[in-house]
Amino acid sequence: MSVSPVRAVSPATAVTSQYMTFRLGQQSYAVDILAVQEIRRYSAPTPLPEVPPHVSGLVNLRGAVVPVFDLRVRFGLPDTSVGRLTVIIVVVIREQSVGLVVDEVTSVLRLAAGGLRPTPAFDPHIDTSFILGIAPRDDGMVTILDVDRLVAHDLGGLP
Amino acid sequence: MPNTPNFSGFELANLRSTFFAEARELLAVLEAGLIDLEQRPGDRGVLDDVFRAAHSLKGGSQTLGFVAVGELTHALETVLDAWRAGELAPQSAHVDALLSTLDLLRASLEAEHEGRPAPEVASTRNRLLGIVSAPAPVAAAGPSGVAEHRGAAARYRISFSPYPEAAMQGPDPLLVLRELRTLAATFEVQLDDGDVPALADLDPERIALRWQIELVPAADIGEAEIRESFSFVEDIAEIAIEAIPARGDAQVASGAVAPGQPASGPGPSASAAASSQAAALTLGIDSSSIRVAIGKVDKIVDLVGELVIAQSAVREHLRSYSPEKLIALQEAALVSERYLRELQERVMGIRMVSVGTVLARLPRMVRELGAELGKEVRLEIQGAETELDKGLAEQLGDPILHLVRNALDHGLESPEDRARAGKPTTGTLVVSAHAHGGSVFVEVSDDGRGLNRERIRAKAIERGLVAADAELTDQEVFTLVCSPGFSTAEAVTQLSGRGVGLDVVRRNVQAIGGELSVQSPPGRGARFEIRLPLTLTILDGLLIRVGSETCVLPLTEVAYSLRVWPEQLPRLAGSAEILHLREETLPVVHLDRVLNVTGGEDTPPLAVVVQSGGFRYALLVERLLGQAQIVVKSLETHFRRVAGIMGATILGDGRVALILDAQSVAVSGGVRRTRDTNVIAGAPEVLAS
Repeated sequence: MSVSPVRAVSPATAVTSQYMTFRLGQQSYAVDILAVQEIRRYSAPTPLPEVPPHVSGLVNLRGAVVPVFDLRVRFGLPDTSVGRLTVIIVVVIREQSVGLVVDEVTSVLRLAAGGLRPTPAFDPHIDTSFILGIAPRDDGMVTILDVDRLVAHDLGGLP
Repeated sequence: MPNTPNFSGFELANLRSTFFAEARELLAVLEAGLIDLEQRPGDRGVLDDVFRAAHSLKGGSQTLGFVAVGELTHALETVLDAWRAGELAPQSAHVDALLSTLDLLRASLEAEHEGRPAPEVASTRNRLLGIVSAPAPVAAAGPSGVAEHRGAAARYRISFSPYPEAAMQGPDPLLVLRELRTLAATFEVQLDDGDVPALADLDPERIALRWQIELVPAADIGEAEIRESFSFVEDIAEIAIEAIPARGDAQVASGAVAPGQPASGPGPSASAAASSQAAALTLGIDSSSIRVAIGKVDKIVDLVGELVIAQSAVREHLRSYSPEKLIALQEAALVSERYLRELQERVMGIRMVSVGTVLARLPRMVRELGAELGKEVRLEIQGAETELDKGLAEQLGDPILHLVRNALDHGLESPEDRARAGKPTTGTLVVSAHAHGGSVFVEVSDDGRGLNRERIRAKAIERGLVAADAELTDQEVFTLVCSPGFSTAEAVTQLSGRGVGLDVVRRNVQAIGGELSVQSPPGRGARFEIRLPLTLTILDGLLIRVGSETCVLPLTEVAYSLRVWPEQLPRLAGSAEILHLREETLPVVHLDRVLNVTGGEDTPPLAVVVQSGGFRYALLVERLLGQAQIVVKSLETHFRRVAGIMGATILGDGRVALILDAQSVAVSGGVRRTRDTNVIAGAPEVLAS
């Protein structure tokens, strides 16, 4: 990217990032759209023994075994039922596919540079390291997640 | 110097890469052979092998124009030839020199491979040639041999008679004369053309000329250099070099170094020491390519052909299908499947390499480390032909290396200490490999001082690794030395004499799906065992139903299965269950509890008797679904290591099934390793003898 001539980059792409938004319970979240590999219909993962509750298990993604994390469990939401709109978002983290269970994929969010507000300071005991920032919208706000930080801890062997 | 024959760029690149792969193998043969010869100097077979390897290496390098490699191997060959001719007996000092030559060769080859300038080889080469040209006993070994000659002769008389057919086979003899002249202070050539036939009978492709040369070498030039000029024509000519001592020139005392010793590049001993250090640091094997016997490939090609035919039969039956053709269709499908299975096995077979490829450089390393540490050690390698997946073999080098270093450094005592302890002064280090069930076992054992159980335990308690009142089996205690807490502690090393970097070894072994265990019978040394899956890719499995899930147990770990009734399962004090059978009593593991699956029956009706690496237990399951060949997907690469699970697979219905690791299921289920079943091939007996 850095080697392309400046003129070749249109102003719009230079300053806009796109995020895929989804719903967990009543709250909107988003991840960088470039990290999203695909969205697939929910299928029950094969559970694993002795893993944290938000690690749902493994699914078959065209021959590859992919771990699936339930973000609703991860964020402590009471309702973790599977409905018509429940999907698995497959994201790529460090060249590895990882599935994220969400209640519904909603839309794509375009943000101009500077449109992202920093995470408000919470009590230091509350871990907010996996939140990239907050994007305000007409109907509330979207929390932008850093997928890498969100699941890196569960992918053993990775720092 | 020979010119590189005119190959096209593509041919040359091909030749080069084949040569480098071959050279690597030849160097390994040379190294192992030389060390073997040191032990058994009279072994003609080994000597011949070594000689052949050196000769092939020389031939290949000359063809490709790797001058430095050619010169070095020529010198190597000269020494070996003297051994073969019985002019010289192999001795340690010579073997040292030859081994360091191999290091230099390796460095030169790497340099050629990467297109860097080759390292300076003249001094090493001269040293080797000095061994031969000064066939006095021990004193002649090493650099002094060259020096002696340098002082001894003032003039050389050389007769050079190429064979008539030499023009067809070798380089231009005139090149040799030209090179020779550069070494001379004074240089006289006489051409003997007495054999040249009359013009009518002249065959322009046959050489009929002979040369007589008398030369006084330039300063710094010895007989070795002069001989070296002929290195590329020695196979195609008769060469006689006669040194004429200068009048009144006394023999230079053995061991003295002539003032005019060439001072180019680092001294031979310094560079050899440096490179042998580098050689000792790695056991690595070439990972980018694989050499396969052509027969194996042909068989695969044949099978693919058969498979295509079988498949077209299936398609034909389907195209014109009618119910009465069902049987024919089924048969065609079966044939197809049989070929597919055989093809799969053979393709997997390509990936298998012998453990020996990893161990090839151990003798050298042990020899040098032993000398460095002042310990006498005899290395035994057993089961080098055991095969395992190439990917695993590559990963195995480092752990083995580490264990061997560790055994030499900390396990084996000095000869004096051994004598005091009533042991033979020469320690024994055994590296053995064997396959058993679906696993490959590699053991590194020594007959040294072993591990101190009590001190390890005390240290572990002090470091908070175990509770003060914990009851630990020997196995558990010794496994503690592999804990990270032990590795960095200097004091522990001194106390127990062990524990250096073993956690790293264990991590590396676990990273490839293996296990490291330690045993140390009091006073009988220590034994480290690496257990590895034979291959990571395909295995025969028993499909087991647990709750709503299916999982797979490798068939190699299954002894048998049987139906059980609740009254066969009395509870011991506490909650431990046992299964009473006619012949044996087994600990019981509930698979659903280990896997945390709910909704199963309280007492599942089936027991699978599992036998795996010293564990024997009854695994209670709800239903057996049959056997299947499954493709193993590593969990580590996709997720992380999970207790009780060795991997995952995808079933016919697309669902993911977990593959159980029988040993870690046992551990999760609270089963302990039984003592008597844990004896594995050979090593303890070897140690005891």
